[in-house]
Amino acid sequence: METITHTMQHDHRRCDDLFVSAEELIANKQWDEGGNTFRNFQNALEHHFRMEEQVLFPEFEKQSGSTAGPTQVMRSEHEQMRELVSDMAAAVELQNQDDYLGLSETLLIMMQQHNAKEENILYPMTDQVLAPQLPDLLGRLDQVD
Amino acid sequence: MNTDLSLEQAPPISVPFQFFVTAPLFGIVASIILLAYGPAIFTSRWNLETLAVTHLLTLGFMGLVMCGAILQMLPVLSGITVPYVKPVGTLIHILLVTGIIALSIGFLASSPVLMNTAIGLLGGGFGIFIVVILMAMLRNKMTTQTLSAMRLALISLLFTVILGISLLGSFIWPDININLALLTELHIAWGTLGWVSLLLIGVAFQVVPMFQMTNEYPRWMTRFLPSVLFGGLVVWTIIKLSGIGNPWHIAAFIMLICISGYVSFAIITLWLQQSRKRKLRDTTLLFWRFAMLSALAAAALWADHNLMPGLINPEIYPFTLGIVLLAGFAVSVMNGMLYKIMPFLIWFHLQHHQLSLGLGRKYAIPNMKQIIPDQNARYQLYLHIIGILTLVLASLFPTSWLVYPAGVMLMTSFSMLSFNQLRAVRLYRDYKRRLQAASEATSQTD
Repeated sequence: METITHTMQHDHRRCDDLFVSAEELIANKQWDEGGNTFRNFQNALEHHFRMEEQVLFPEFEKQSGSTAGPTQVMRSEHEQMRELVSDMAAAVELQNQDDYLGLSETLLIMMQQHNAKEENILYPMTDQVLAPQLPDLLGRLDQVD
Repeated sequence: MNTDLSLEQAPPISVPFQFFVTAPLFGIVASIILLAYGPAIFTSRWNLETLAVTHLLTLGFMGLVMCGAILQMLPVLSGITVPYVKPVGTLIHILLVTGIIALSIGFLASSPVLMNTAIGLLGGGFGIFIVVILMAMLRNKMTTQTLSAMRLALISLLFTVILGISLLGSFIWPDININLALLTELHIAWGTLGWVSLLLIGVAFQVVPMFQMTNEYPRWMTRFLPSVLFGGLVVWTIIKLSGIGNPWHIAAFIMLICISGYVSFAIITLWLQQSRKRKLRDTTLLFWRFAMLSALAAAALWADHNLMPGLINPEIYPFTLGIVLLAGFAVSVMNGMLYKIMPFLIWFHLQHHQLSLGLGRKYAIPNMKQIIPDQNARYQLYLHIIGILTLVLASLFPTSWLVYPAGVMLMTSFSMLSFNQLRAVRLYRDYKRRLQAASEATSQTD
């Protein structure tokens, strides 16, 4: 059966792949293609954040009755990642390779530890707490633009 | 299911950092003692100064890094928080550091009083550590393969400490009649193959795919390897202790199975890293590769000694094996990991601080490569590798020509690690002060 964990995990891997391609292109100073791939990554990441912030987290918070729990920490980590990504966008504009690679190294660890927390803890918890409305929820995740 | 798990980057940065920053200092002291005693270190594994050097590395460097890393990683991996982590972490740190100092001076001065003190301090430090972590794990039903491996590693640590204390007791009270050789063998096996290796394997399951973007470890490996290895060690220990029949062959057979497990782990790790998605040259990755090759070399040495006796001098064997396994395998992984964990935590805490003070993006927080420049880490890696290879040669041919250069290189390598860490910590303090000042200035103008 399709689960939140599976769907979201899959989306993490999609972002990872774009991240790696952009980093490799920029490490080889292929700025045109690298810049395009970076923007695709940026869009994929933002889309992933929207799925969580607009659908998943509010539903989870409704069930648990609190906005101060784990979702709050996840939202704040999204903010931290947005900061990094916007600095990376600036580095792409300026074609500053050192800055980009330093920032991408940082984002990689930030993203991976964040994903691990979601995949190990938050998503399985969501699958359990929101089990009855799972099909509806998955449908709504699909519709996030 | 518990829905109020914390997903914070707990604990405060000072908790793991006090362990990380003191660790290489013990590596420096170990190298200095190696230099002070020179080739004499290699005359017998029972020399007290040899024991001092070994324990400065295992307890001082490795033990501190592992305790700090567990305190840091547990909440991230599982949402488990350790209660009163700041005072408890500090207490454990103080007990371990003073215990290691007492133990090494106790060995060097052959002082029963200091050895006795070390029993209390190290027993207390590790005791509290094991109880606190296992209790935190018990309160939470969540289990990942990494957590189960960590649990088995902690139980192995308990055995290692109990065996170590018994051995130390026999130094202090020579009248106690114990089988020194047997207990030493068990102590070493539980320390290296249990505590250190199980922890590294469990952590690798999580961080190798994460940081290097490799495929996951095969399911049979993450699910069964840690328990098979642990079970193997238990059976091996029982056979060794029982001494019935002709136990040597059975014990060696069980050990052979365990060692095949470690070998398969090292090979699969190398293979995963080889086929990783992220192709960038990465210093931590190179530390890992050197560590995995060292693990394979250690297995080859073991096989050579046990299955084809006579090829390697049995007097030399424990030294070479010890260097390859402890310095080549364990120290390398930890050293490499410090270069990821420390700059990341510094960046994370600074940026979090800036956002929570409401400063927006007033200051550009340095990124990981600005906190510890890649070049610095890379030079230390090269020195580390050459130093260890020289030390391995020195164990085979203990002449001044090899022992002293090896000692100097390792001392320099640990000093460079320490320098890289302290530079990063100073940068953290500078930025934190600036953020604080900016926040006060903003609130005054409001």
